[in-house]
Amino acid sequence: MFKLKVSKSEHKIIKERLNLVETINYDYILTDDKELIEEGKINIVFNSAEIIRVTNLLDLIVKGEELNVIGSNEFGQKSVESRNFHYFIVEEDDVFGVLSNTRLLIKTKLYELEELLKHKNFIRISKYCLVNIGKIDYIKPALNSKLDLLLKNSEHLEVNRGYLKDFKKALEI
Amino acid sequence: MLFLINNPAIAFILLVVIGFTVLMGTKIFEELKLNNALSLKQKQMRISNPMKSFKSRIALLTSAALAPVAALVIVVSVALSPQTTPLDSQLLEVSSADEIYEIYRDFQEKMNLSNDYTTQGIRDGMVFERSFTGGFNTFGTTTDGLLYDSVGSSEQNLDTGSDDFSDTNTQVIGVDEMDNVLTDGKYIYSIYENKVQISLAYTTVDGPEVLSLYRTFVFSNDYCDSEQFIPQGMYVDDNYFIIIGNQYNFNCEEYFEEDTRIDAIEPWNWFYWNPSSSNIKVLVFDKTKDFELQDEYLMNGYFTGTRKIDNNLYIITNNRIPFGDEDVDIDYYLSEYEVNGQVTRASYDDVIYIEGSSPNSFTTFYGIDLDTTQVDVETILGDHGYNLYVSTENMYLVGSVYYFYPMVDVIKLDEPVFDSKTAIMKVEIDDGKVEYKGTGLVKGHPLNQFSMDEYNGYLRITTTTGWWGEGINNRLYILDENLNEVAVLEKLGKPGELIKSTRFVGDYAYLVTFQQIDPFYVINLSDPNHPFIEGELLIPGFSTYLQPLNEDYILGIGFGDKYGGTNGLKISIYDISDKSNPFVFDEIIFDYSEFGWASSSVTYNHKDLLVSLSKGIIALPFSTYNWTDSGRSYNSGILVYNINLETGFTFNGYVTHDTDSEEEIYVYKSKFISDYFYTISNKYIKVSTITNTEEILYSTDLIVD
Repeated sequence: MFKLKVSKSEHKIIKERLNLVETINYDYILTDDKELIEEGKINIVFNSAEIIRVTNLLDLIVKGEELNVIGSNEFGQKSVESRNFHYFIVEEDDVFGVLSNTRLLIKTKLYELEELLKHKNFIRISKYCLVNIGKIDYIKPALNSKLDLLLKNSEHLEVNRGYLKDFKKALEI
Repeated sequence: MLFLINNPAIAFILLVVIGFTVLMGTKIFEELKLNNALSLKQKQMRISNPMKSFKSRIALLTSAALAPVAALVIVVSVALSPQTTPLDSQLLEVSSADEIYEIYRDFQEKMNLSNDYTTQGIRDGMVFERSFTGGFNTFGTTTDGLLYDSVGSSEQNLDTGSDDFSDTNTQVIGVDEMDNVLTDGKYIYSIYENKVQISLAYTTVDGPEVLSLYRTFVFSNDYCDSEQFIPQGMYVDDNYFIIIGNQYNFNCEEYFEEDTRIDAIEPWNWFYWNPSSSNIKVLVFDKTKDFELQDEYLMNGYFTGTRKIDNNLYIITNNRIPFGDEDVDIDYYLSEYEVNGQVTRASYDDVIYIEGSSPNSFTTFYGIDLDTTQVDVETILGDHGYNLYVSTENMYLVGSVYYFYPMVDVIKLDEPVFDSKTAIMKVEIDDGKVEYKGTGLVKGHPLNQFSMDEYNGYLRITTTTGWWGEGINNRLYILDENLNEVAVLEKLGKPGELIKSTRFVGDYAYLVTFQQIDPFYVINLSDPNHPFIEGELLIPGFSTYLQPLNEDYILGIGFGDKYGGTNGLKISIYDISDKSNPFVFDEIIFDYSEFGWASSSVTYNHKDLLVSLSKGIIALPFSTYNWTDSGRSYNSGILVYNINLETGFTFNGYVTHDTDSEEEIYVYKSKFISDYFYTISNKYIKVSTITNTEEILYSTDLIVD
């Protein structure tokens, strides 16, 4: 997504301060030298004094616009920012959105949620489950060629064989 | 690969372990790949605290993958490492011959598991196992009368001898060692071949003028004589004169049957390889009754060693059990002794087996009270011992103990499946009583009895591991009274050097190692826990025997020549007054190149050396051959040097009994009584004065018809 163009000696330290991951295919150029800007890309030219602000800017770029999902539990209806959901799951025709400590009944269909959240790093792992990649703590390959996902709330989910390829693709392996 | 083919079970387990490890490795790789991708993805998503379980999970997986490998390595290494359990816990009481068979079979099975050949003879310390085809000598049939012809008994001289005479040159003061020539100040006792002779040598009334042969015991050395007796050595004190010898029982009947064959084996060879058994015979004569035979002891087995302390005689025998013989009856080889015809046989309950030792023989420690004829016995089933050291309180016999790999029954190896250590058997002696106290273990082999010494309850021992090159390791161990290791000094000497001699004197050890040059080490043992090398001296040649002269000087006998080599006899005095800086105070070299051939028995037998600081002499046998135009001439005599710790050595004389003779008269011992110097050969005893040893005053002929 990003490409950092600074002097070689400063590259590592600036990259760390920006908490930046560079990719081969990128849309953004980050540079402190305006001579290094590239045509057809989004160029952000900064000086080193502005790194904190650039970092905040990058957070915004990556996370994009906030997208809230509305759900309800015994305490009533809530609107929760999508990245706080660990996963969405269908249970007996109802869709639930699972948070750290609670779950919300979502009135939206799972495939609609999938479509809605496709740019928010949610990935389908089974016919009934949509998981937030950002909430996966660890991936454990199981002996039956499935993947066992340990989430940050200590719950386990399983990636079914049929969704394995897409899951790996989502991780860009 | 051959190992795996020989051990299919281990190969299968190894295959399973490898398969499991590969599977786990693949799984770990896949997991790593997935989670690395996840981690990167989450970083791209700018999540600040990604994957907290990653490290612990990878550690767990790695441990799981490596656990079987580690377990296999541990099992194999334990299986291939000999047990080193302390021997005290491995003492086995034996109660029957069947148990001994079982012990033997178990031992041999472990020994031979990976070998097709029968190894008993080779493994048992390179001792050939002779073919014992005959029966066992029956006790009680040969003791009704003297076994010898007593010749030349002249009238007894009742005058007294001198109190000033040379004792046997022993290792430990108070512990007498058997020898072939003795004196008690009045008589000289000598052994040559099958004769034991008593010569009147000195009386306070007539001095050395009385020198004459007094009595000769001629023993039968005929192979087939049931009364055959080969004298090995003697002891003498104020009351007793003791002769110790061997009695071999050959199968003469079988020999004579075979004798008519064209390819009959030469008698000597036949007898050598076919003795049926051996006994040790001890003849005790009463000196106060003009050498009347007082008691006669007989012990079955072969001679291992002996010492005498006051009126107690200690004898160690070894009786090999011919397990190779299908008809072997262990009862016949169980320790048995006879006192004046009264036979006592050990029972199996008396036998102790030290596990790990080769159960090839019974080693028996006898304690004999010469006054009461009481005999105390301790019998150990195990390997024969080869070096005996005796202090005033304990006997230490050195043998070997083998350690088998714990899984030797399961694992088949092409290499030997055992390791061995030197076992030091400790038997306490107390006024004729003997009691087994335990066995200690050290690496390497002690050179001789001087490699051991007991001091303040500690046993000190020097050993050498290896024979050649960098593998050699010379060690000095200090063991406590339970023979547990207190301290050890390793890698003594320069690389590749072997220990040539050791002498322990109180808080110090003096050690000579050699390959090309002789380092003489002074090792401080005053703190048994922290021995250290205090001084070192590098000189050409080497000493094979060290004897302290006093606190400041030590005598070294060994090899050295005028050219820095070892082709000669070298006698040195080391000044050790400054322990950190020893130096050669004086030395004498007899270069062998000046003779056709030369030799001195003191380089290997300390009892042939006479040293007396009070008389100011050292004396030792020295024999040479010279080849001349007229043929070969032989000279044998006693070299005498005056020794003075201020001026060093001065030549006193070379006492021969004949010169350039074609007949070989071997002068093998010297003794002094009062101011007179006696030399003993196979034909004569001659006497001179200590101050002028070459001028013979009197002589007596030892030849009897």
